[in-house]
Amino acid sequence: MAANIRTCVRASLVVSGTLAAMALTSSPASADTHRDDGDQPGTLMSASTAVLLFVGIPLLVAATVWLLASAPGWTRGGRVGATGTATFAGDPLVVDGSTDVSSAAASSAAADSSSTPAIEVATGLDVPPGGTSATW
Amino acid sequence: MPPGSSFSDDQRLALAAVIASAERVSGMPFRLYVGELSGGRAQAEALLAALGASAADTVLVAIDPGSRRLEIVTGPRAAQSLDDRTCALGALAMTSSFEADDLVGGIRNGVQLLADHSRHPARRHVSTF
Repeated sequence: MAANIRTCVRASLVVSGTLAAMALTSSPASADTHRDDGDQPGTLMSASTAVLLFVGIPLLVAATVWLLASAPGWTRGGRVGATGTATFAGDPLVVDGSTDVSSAAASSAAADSSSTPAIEVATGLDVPPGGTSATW
Repeated sequence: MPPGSSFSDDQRLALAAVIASAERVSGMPFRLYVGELSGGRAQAEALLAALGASAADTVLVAIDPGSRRLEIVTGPRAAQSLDDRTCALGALAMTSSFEADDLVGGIRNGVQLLADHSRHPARRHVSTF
């Protein structure tokens, strides 16, 4: 019984002490509610204005930044000519170690390989090949 | 119109030199294909398989500038020296340049990176006694 009373007293002391500390530290803020001579308080901001100011404008800024970052990728989507020339003609070029370092040899090697069927070729690889895929 | 006519003679020479250098550095055959890849990954794998017996050792870099697609396909034995993470790194190096409309430079950077990072499998010591 005495232990319970002691516990209650201790708890109430902790709570009251905490509340007192909070009130003490927050007193400067509460002082703003008192009007002093010379105060010219402005009109209160409406809820819609507050939402527009603190939500709408940040969203608008974020959307603008996202648009500026993404737009170049959209416009490049269908472009060809990545060789630095005007367009990519679409004729395949194949280069391997046996390709002679001359344009004519490169062209003939490409001609041989360009006739390679695309998907119908039997793979002949017992183990699936590795590697990776990428787009740009 | 000759194949690969989108490339100038100098560009074709540069690409041939890059592939030759990569083969010299890595000891693996490299093959570069620049053209249509409408079949995507399956077509690239078929291009590798069409090489026949050498397919297992070969690294194929297939690029379709029209659809902005890149495939790096390594044969099973080549994959022991060139893992998929390294291939992804090489692909990143290439696409970074491709985005800047530098196809030849991207191929050069990517293929060189693949060749430099290919590690040769540990050679096991065999008793000669």
